[in-house]
Amino acid sequence: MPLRVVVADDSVLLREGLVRLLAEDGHQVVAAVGDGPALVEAVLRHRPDVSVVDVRMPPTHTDEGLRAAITARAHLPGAPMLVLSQYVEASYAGDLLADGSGAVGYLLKDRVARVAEFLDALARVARGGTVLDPQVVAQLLAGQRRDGALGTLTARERELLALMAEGHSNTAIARRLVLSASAVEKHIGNVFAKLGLPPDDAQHRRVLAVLAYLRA
Amino acid sequence: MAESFPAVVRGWWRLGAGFLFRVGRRTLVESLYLLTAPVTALAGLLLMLGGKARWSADLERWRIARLRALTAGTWTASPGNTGTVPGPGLWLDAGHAVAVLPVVLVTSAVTALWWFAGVATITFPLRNQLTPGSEGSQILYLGSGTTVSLVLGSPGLHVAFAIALGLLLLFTLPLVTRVCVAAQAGLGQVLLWDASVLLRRIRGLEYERDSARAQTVAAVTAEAAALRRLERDIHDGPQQRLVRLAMELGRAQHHFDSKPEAVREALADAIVQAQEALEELRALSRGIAPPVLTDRGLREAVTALAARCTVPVELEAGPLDRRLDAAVETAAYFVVAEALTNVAKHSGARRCAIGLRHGGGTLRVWVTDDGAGGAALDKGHGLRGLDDRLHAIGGRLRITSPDGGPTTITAELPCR
Repeated sequence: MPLRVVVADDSVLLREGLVRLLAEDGHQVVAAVGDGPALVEAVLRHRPDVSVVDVRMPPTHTDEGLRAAITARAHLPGAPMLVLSQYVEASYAGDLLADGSGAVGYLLKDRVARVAEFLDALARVARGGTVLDPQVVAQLLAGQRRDGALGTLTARERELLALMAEGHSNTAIARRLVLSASAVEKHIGNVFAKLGLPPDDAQHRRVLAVLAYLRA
Repeated sequence: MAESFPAVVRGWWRLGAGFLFRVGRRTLVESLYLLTAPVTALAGLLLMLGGKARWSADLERWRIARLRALTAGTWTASPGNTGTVPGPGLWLDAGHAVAVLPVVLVTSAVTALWWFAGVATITFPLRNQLTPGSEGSQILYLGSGTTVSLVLGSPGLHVAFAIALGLLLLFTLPLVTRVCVAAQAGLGQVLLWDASVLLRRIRGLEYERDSARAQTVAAVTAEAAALRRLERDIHDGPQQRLVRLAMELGRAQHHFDSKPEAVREALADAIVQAQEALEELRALSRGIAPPVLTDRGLREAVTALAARCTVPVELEAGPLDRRLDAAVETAAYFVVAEALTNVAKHSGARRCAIGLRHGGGTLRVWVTDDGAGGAALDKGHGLRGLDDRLHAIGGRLRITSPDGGPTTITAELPCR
């Protein structure tokens, strides 16, 4: 399915690379911008299927892109954002997920080189999924606190939650963990129950579960 | 006896006359100091009340310094400090202005009275002859209104007594002025010199401590700033190139079977990115520690900088006799590098000169150009960073750059 995409990166080099990569895969880049305010404006004007955003942009060269993405989502709730960065920080992912509406991704820039995976992640975010970089997840696992609701999860359930955070579908998780689809569903159901998430639509509950995970 | 009697007498006489002259001169100077003191003390008090205690203290310091200079050899107060360096203790200055007033009133009154009585009594016989009407009286006229009653018989005795008393008064006058000066100038010495010297020492130590602390802070700040700049440079340079390189390789892999044209294009681009990334890494490592500086020292490195500069550069640098401290070399190198960058970018100069001189424990580096001038620390141009860098190793940066030029940037670095 061709997507309408806004690309925001202050490096012309990478912006051009991304635009070419997306165009070659049949997507339409409706705007390519170089700073935060321009991103917000482009998202509000074009209402793209997904935006690819570099965290560090002018004028502050800090987390300008991240803040612009959050601002854009405040104006246009749920606008899908795939944020790319040279380094990943779990707290940044938390900021992105904080509104609980999903449709966010947070990946290391290098992941773009795995073109097929990158395009897949882009499509999942566009559909409202949550994709976190394995490094973010690894950081979370390393610093995971054992208290609270998360402490009640079994090792298997935690593993499953990590894969959910990375944005994998039930089928992909089943394949990874060599489990049957029904076993995965059962585990996920347990995770939701332990985290006290209401039996709402599955996608939303997945986001909330990841969020709980991030906030632990 | 080797010497004849008259020669010895002459020698004694000369000695005595010299002594009398010196004592007389000293007494006159001290008297002048003491008799003018009420005026200056009052002026000092007024100055102090007007918030200018420093001025009043400076006035008294100057007076004491003059007094010492003119009575050199007879004055034995503690030597050393000249009155030209103002003491830091304003409250001491103010305290002196107040405390000196009663002292001055006493010393000046005593001095005036002594002079007056001495001169009046010794001139009594003279005046007595000029005013015959007063002959035979038992009153010794000291002047208008002041009299000393005497119970003496003959006028001859009057005269003899007057002369004796006058001589006594005049001969003790040096002692009196000396005591008065000791009291009055001593007070000044204690309040305006000794205490303020102590204060100054304390302030000096505090200053040293603060500047050492500031130097440490500057060093840490400069290092942190340099590291941040480095992180930015890596992020904006080679890191972007490598991401793009990976992206192109990914594209090539992605289209390997379907679009050979796209694969060829992606690989060509990947090679360019790899070469650019290498070039940027080389430039970055030059920015951290230029290899030529590390290998061959400051002069060679500066020569290399001069050769790379787009504006013609003249180098005034004799060979340095040895390698300098690494920190000094690096700081000096970056002063020249930054200055030359500014010359090329901002000055519009047609010529510039670099100077290097090492001696007397200081390395002096300067860069002059004939450009438009107007360089300043606050304007960016990297000069602020240089200033921090120099400050961190105890050096300093001077910028002379009037509008219209010429601009001279001078760095002085302490270096043994």
